[in-house]
Amino acid sequence: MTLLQMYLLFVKLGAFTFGGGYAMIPLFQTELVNNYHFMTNAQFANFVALAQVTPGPVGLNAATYVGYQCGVQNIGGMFGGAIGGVVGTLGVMTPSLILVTLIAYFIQVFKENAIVKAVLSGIRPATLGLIAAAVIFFAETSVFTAPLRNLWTSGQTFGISWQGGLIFALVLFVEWKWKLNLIYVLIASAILSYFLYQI
Amino acid sequence: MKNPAKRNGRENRLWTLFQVFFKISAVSVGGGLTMLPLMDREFVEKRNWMSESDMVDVVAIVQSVPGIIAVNMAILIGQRTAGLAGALVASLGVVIPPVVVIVVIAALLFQLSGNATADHIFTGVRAAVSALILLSVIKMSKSILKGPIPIVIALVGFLLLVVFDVDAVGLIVASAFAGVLIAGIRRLRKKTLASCAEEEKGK
Repeated sequence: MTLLQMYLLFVKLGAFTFGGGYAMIPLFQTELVNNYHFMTNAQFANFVALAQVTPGPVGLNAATYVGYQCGVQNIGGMFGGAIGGVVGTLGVMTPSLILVTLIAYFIQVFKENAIVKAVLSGIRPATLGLIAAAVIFFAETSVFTAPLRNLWTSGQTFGISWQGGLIFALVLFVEWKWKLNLIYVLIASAILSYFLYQI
Repeated sequence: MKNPAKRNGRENRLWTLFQVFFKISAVSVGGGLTMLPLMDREFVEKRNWMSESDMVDVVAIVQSVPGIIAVNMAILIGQRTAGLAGALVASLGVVIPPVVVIVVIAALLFQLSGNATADHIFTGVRAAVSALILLSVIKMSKSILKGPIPIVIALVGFLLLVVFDVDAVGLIVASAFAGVLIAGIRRLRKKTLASCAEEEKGK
C-alpha cells in the first residue's frame, strides 16, 4: 500500500468515526485487519490495549502506528516510519479539520438543524451498538475460548477461560465501585495475568 | 502593523493555546471527553476566554461530528478563541505528544505478538479492557437508550456486527438514514393528527 492510499484510508476512517474512543474499534478492525491485513486480530487487540496506557485517543494512536509501518515499507528506516506516522495521523484528522472548522462558523445553524438532529438520532444508538460489539471483540480473544462470529459453522466449542473471566469480573467490580484511574487498573491486571497464566 | 500590542497579544494567545493543548494531551491517557474538565479549568475558569455555555456547545458539537473527539475539541476551542490559526495551533498541540510516543513505541517494538509471556499478559489486559468498555456501554446507554426506537437500532447494530460481521461504515450510513426516515414519519404523523383534529373541530 502506498502512503497516499494509506492517507486516504485514514481519511475515510476519520470521516466515519462517531462518538470517538471505543466506537472506532469495529470500524478500524474491519479495515486494518480484515481488508488490508496490516495486523492480525490479536495484534490489533494488543495494540488497542497498549494505546489505553499511552497519551492520546486510540484512533489517533492506531493511525500513527499503521502509518509508521507503512512508511517503513515505502521509504524505509525509522525516518520513513516517522513520516508515515505523520501522514496517517494527518489522514485521520483531515475530515475533522474541514468539518469542525466549517461548523464553528455556523454553530447556531448546526445546533438547531432538524436534519442534523434526525441523522444523529439514528447514529447515536448505532454507535452504542458498535461499542457493545467492541466488548465482544475483546472478550473473544481473552474471556471466551472461541470467537462468537460464525460459531455454528466453525465447529469450535464455546467456553470461558477462568483467568480471563476472573480478571474481567474483578475489573468490572473494582471500576464499578471505586472508579479508579484506568492506567492503574490496566497495569494491575497485566501483573495479575502474568501470575495467573503461570498456574 | 497598526497595533503592535494587539498583534503581540494574539501571538501570545496562540502560543498559550499550543502549550495548554500539548500539556493536556500529554497527561490525559485515552483522550476524548476525559480532557474536558482540564480544558474547562484552563479556558473558562483560569483565563476566561470562553463562557460556560460556550463549553456546553463545544461538548454537544464534538460528539455530533465525525472524527476523534480530542482533535475536534482542540479545533473548535482553538477556532472560538483565536480563529483559524487557533484551530491549527491547538490541534497541532494535541497530536504531537501521542504521535511522538507511538513512533517511539513502533520503532522499539516491532512485534505486537509472538512472545509467550507477553501474549499471556496481553490476554489478561484484553479481558480487563473488555470490562472497561462494558462499563462505558452501561454508562452511555442511560442517556442514549430513551424509548423503543434507539433500543432497536442499538440492538440490531450490535447483532449485525457480532453475528453477521457486517461492515461498520455501512452500518453508520444505514443508521443515519434510519434516523432521517423515522423523523420524517413522525413529522407526517403529527401533521395528519393535527389535520384530523381540525376536521373534528369543523364538525
